[in-house]
Amino acid sequence: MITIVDTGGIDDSLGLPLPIETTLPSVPKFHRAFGLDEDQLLAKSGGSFTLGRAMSNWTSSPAPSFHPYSETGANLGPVGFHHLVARKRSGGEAVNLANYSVAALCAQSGRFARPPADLRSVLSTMGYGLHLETSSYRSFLKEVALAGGVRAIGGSVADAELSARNQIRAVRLESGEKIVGDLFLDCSGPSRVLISKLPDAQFEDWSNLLPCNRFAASIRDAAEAPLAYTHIDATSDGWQSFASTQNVSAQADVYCGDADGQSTPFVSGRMVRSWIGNCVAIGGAAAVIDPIASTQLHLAASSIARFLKLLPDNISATAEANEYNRQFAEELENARDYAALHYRRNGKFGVPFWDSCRRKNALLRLAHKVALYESTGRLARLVRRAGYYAAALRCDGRCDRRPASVRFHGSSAKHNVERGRNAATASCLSGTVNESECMSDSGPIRHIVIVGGGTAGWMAAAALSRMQANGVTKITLVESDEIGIVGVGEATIPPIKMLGINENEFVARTQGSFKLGIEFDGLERDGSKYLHPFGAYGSDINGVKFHQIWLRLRSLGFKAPLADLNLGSVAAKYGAFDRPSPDRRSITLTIDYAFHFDAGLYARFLREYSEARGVVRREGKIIRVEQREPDGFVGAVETERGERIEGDLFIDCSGFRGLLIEDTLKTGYEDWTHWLPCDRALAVPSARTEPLLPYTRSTARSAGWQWRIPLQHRTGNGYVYCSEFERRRGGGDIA
Amino acid sequence: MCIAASLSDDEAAATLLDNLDGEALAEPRPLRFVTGRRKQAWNKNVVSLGLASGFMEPLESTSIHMVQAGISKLLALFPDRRFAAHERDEYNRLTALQWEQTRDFLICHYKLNNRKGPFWERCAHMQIPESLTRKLELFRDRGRLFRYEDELFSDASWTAVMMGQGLMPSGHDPLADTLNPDEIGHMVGKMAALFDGAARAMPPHAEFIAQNCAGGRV
Repeated sequence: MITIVDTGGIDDSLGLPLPIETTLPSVPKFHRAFGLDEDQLLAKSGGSFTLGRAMSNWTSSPAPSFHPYSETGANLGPVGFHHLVARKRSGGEAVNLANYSVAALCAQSGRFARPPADLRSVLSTMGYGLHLETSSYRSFLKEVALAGGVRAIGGSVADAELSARNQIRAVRLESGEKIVGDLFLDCSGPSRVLISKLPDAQFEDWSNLLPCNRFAASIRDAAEAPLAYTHIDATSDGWQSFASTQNVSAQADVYCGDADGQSTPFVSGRMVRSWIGNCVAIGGAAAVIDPIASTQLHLAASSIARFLKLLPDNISATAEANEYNRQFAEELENARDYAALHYRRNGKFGVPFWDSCRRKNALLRLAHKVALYESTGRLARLVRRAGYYAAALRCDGRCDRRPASVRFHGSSAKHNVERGRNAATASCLSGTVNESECMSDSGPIRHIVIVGGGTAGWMAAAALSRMQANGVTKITLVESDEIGIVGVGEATIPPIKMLGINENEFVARTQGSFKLGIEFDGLERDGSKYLHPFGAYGSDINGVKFHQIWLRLRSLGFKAPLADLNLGSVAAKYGAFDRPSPDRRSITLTIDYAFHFDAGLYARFLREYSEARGVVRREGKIIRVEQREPDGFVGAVETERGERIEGDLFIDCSGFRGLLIEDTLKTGYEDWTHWLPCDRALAVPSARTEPLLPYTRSTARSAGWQWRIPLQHRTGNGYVYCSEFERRRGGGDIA
Repeated sequence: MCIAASLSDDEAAATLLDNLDGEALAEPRPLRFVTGRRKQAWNKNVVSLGLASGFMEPLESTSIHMVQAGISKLLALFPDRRFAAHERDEYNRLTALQWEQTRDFLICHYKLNNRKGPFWERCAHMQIPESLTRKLELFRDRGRLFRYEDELFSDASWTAVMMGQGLMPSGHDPLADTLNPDEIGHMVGKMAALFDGAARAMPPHAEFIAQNCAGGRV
């Protein structure tokens, strides 16, 4: 049973009481996931669509920039679109990003359509958020909740009654009424009427990163049709937003200032833990983030979704609470950093408030992200919405420092090799990157030297060979025939990419076979056996994960083993294999596979591939490594034949010893023996007498485990063990 | 790398050779290692790949993947001659994360075992990283699984190994109770029949290879 206590008053449950909530594209998705019909929602609440944010006066330039809720341009292979733009701009060409965004183009001309499901349509790259008049949106949700059986009562919370273990047992209202419950959601906004009563409650102030502390808003009837975007204008001490719906338009002012009688104060920050015991704070009760990036409703909706995923069935669910808090912290810090970026990277030079924001020290993770972008235009992968970041990072109006090093094959790349030296060194001097490792020498890597020619070395050579297309970079691989291929196994897991190599050719050339998973024999206990398959189990139903459905059925006496619900496992049982069908509706799509192959043949295959692409092979054992003064970088290696090979970048594939990384640079090693105790292995090929199985087998032995890998021409065998226990068994070490 | 054989290697060789599919085609080749990882996979102007960057046993065939993941990160963060520290730092941060996630998955195989004998019993009682403890606790209780940033192994992989190693969740997600048990029972039964039919329609593995990618005699 669910009871909601409606405390009335100004609705600041999301943080700041904005008259119109502007949302990110995630919110329409949440609506769909929660089963809310969008057309019905917009019809009843008068809401409208937003295709992005127009940012005005954030730079000295009078033209606003647009941050669209759609992809901008398209990546070319592995090269991100923002790199392509940077390259064009470095050639002096003016590029208006808005011309490469469907959402920006639609927003400018006041058009809107929902993106089609057909992924081949360029319109499918478009996303949209919503403009929702907060009060009518709330009424709509209330109607849905009441129809779903939720009980609502009005009243103010006077007190919470705690148990001996500091769980909330009940809330008492001003009227004297007492409401008992198992689980309490605090949606009371910054007043935090429940969670603040718990002894563990702790607020963390983020106003050093998000300096605005005053809020004012006004709302009036709409004079015209709603704009399909949100307008955000920088002011002398903060920002103003303008948004409109079908019926109303609203202005919000967020700024940094003293009490003035016309505005409401607020503090950006969060509860360090928003799920404590049996109380979960949602929305403004959990965190208040300056809403410059329209994150308020997103954070509340995603908190609810996360809470549903971790919904406990008893009130002492500490594992769930810890997990919730960890995930929420991550999301919240990303949202905070993104909002903080607007202040830290503003282009309003000469305005005292904004100048002070630029000078402020950002948190480490933000500084790191900005440094990475400033020098290379690269975005840390931590951030999913790379496009939004790219847009925001540019809001100071400055150009990306230089394009990425990844280049295209072909002659057209040549004229782009020269980079602006000034720009490159400027980022060294800016203070964000000032380590001694910033050398005066700039320009592309001229020579890559790969030390060691095992599987690792030749894989690196094959994959890096494309770098030579810039006309500057050369690659040399040094290998000694003395060092054979050891260690690197003869099997893979699915994500192996084939460098554009035909898969059938690869399997044929390496005497390979297909791998649906790994069978573990006796690893749990003697006689037990199971397959770890690569593909998924069953399929999710109504958003419930398949293994959860299976667990439920199992609790009801359902007998089918989980392995029967995995196509790879069933095929492995029959010793059969087939690739997934190209038909998107086929159930064979749930198959995922990897390969078994002969590592020696694979290295030979990669060597041919690399040498055909210009990689030079040198034979000889390395006897000396030269380090440069004063930075200690490796400058050259010398072979026993007296050949000296200089390089800018060295790839150490010399095996466990680590000729460069450890012997020379003394990098240090983190020992995991206490967790993974095996310390020796023996490998031997044998004739294959049994049928060609489509999986690897691992069998437990008394001091380790043994592998068996089926290849076309033989079987690969190996034993991995812990010498301490093998010795005990054998009775002493005479080495 | 080859080191004089000790008695324990001889014992181990006997264990291995006693359990071969067919006749051995060479002498067993020994390898000694210390599981772990290089503290910085990229140091100054040296990037280490393969065994030079660390070693985890091939229980889940991760070695080649780690090499490949290293190369693709290097391509994504390819330096110029300034060797900016933040490119190296990002490479090392992502690499450390990936090694730790893989390490946890491997430890899980050892930690969750019910075998007899001193080696396996010690593994079952060892301390494990906090990140893995959290994962096991969430699963033990109600089968909860979360896949974190860039994690190599899927929910299905964790499910297979945790259940396979005897960790059956004691409950399930309360959301599963919102589904009609007869309907889902029927759907899941149908699914199993479909899978069985699809698998029976596939060619035997050897036949598939003979038709598409036979390597010929060597």
